[in-house]
Amino acid sequence: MECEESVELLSELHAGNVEESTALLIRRHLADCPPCCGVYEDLQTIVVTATSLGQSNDSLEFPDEERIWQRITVIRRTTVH
Amino acid sequence: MLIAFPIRVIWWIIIGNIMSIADDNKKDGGVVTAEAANKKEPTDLELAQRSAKGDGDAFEQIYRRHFRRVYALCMRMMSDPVRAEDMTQEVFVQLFNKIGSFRGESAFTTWLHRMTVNLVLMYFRKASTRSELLTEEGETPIQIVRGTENPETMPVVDRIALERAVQQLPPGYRSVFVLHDVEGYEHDEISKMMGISAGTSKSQLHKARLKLRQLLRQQAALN
Repeated sequence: MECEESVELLSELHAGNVEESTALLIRRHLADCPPCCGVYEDLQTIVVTATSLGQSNDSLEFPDEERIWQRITVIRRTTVH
Repeated sequence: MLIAFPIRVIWWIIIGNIMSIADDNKKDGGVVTAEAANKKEPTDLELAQRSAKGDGDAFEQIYRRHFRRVYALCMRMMSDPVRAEDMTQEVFVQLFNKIGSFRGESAFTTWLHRMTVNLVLMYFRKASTRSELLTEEGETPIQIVRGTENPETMPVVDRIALERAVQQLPPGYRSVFVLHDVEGYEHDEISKMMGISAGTSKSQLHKARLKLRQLLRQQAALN
């Protein structure tokens, strides 16, 4: 298996969506190809980190909650009347 | 049906409830008094029903309870703090208008989450980015050139660096990545929400991850 083909299938490999025979070919390629192996490891790290983003919002900066609430309140009043 | 809810959305609901309880304890100085223990926090459904009857305080409680989650989702999908703020406002205005239609058939957080995603996607469509969302080949595929990759140089992916990199993705890639890898939706759900095939969703997700890798490496090189 060539690098390009291997890299194209890495997300599917990670998701367990490739047939066993294809998975074997990819894994053999990864064992012989440090660059592709590096890509696979990096993609796994990205997926794991992305999952953690969904579990906590600490890495985001939030705007003033009160200011947005005041704007919503004005629109609500306009809508009601 | 449990399988219809992405695992991370279920996690979202559980943590939301835990955070609500924790906030209550904080208000009491960390001491759970007998009075506080007996005081039952209203559920989202109860607040929604009261809001639908015109109870403004109930609606404000819903806003305070869910503001951060709604903003976080908008920010991750839109990657622009000003637009994310405007969209958060729009979500809660829409919520105010439609809250009477929430019947409690699904978790409120799931319902609100889906409403937020739909409004953001509608915004993208109105902003004439639909072609980008639908394009399978939204970006030139990243080519791996032998000898140029060194696993040792891959930066440690921290959450802030990833947030920053996600903001630099093209909207189509970003939506699929946020919905799948961050929010936990399956490809068939994303395909319905975005009006693309499941195959396109998978393809865009893979390209988004490769693009993120490239962006993270660029960020690390600058530091």
